Amino acid sequence: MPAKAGFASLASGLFCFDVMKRFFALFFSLLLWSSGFAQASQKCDAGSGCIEQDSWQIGIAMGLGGRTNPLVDGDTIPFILLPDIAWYGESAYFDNGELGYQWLPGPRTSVELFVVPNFEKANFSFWHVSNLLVPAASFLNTSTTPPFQSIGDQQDAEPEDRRLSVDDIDTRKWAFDAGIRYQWYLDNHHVRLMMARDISSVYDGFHAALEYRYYTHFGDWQVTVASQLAWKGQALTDYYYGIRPRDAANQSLYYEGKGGFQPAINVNASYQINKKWHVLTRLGVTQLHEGMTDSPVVEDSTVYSAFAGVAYRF
Amino acid sequence: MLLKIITITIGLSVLTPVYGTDWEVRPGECVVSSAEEFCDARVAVTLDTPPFDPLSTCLNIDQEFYDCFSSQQMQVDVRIARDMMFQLTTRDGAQLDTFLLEHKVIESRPRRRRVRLPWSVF
Repeated sequence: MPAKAGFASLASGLFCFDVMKRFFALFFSLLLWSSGFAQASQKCDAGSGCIEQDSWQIGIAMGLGGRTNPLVDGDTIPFILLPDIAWYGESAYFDNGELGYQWLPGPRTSVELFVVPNFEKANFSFWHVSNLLVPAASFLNTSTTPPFQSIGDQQDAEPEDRRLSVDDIDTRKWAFDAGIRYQWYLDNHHVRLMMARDISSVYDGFHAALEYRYYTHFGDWQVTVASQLAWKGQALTDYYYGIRPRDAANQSLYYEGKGGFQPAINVNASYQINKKWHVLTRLGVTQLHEGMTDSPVVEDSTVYSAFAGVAYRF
Repeated sequence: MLLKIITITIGLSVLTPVYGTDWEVRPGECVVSSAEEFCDARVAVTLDTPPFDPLSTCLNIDQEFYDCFSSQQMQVDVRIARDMMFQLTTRDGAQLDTFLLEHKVIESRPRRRRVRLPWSVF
């Protein structure tokens, strides 16, 4: 596929794929439907993830946690220090790595165009965190079994002759995506529809996600439950998880990645100790699609993430 | 504690009396600069006589019975962290009149909802 860049290629490319056509149609149907609502906007305070316009939110969370790595010999990504950096202007914003521009067509809706790193590469990176945070990272890597693997899928392991270590394949590059996102709010309910495309000519493909969030309280704990269905395109899956001659000499290991859908659920709970300090906890589970898990370099079909710690807002 | 002191200072400095037709709730609103702030206030509910007979009039706050009047004025210590409904009733519970004591947030700058969950690196 020839390299394309920018939102023009994103828009034209969207119509090249049936799945993306359906997402596009759904996107604008939701936009037109929800723009008709004329009720008062819901309360928007710091506890619900809001920020004052023309201001920064900077914080750091310290704790223990990680995200399992589904790759053969992949390192669990430790969560020891989690930064939180956001700035919002009148329309432009920067939010934890995402740079975007937001429109508010209705009191309950927003539409964003954004650029963001694609974090698929994270599975292939040794983050060198152990060089900085020896005790915590060592704790996370003392076992050959990832910390959350006891929950599940030892049976998903590849046969030894079909396994290919992430350490033995060619490096994968970081990619940058440009995308469009639609969001709709109603009281405690929040729906998000996102489509994005590679603009860095790394994988030259698409991915998309439909997400539903529910915000609630349990006593003084603010809880967010987010369920997501993500679609990873063939080009993305093949670039990161496909096996080519440059990855392995053994032709029996060659693999062409295929697109697929990935369901995920995340639960975030926070407790405000005072205006500066919070307790943060997070649990997440993602079921990987077969187009990825059939790859010799992937040995787990489920990714678990967890974090517990305290957060300080400057 | 500092927040509370500041809040009370801010709140009380802009608490204003609001007059009903035949009775008065003073102060009649709590004005704060953010939704998390509140006012700790002594609210005076004063009846005009007539038409109200203090000895046959009671006060409900947010649909819950508070007390019956024994004189023309009743004082209530409240924390105003949200809108509060003051309701005059007869001793039999029949509603006579209502007044909404508002918790008003005056935004210095508009707020925007973040597109990513805080602390979500990926």
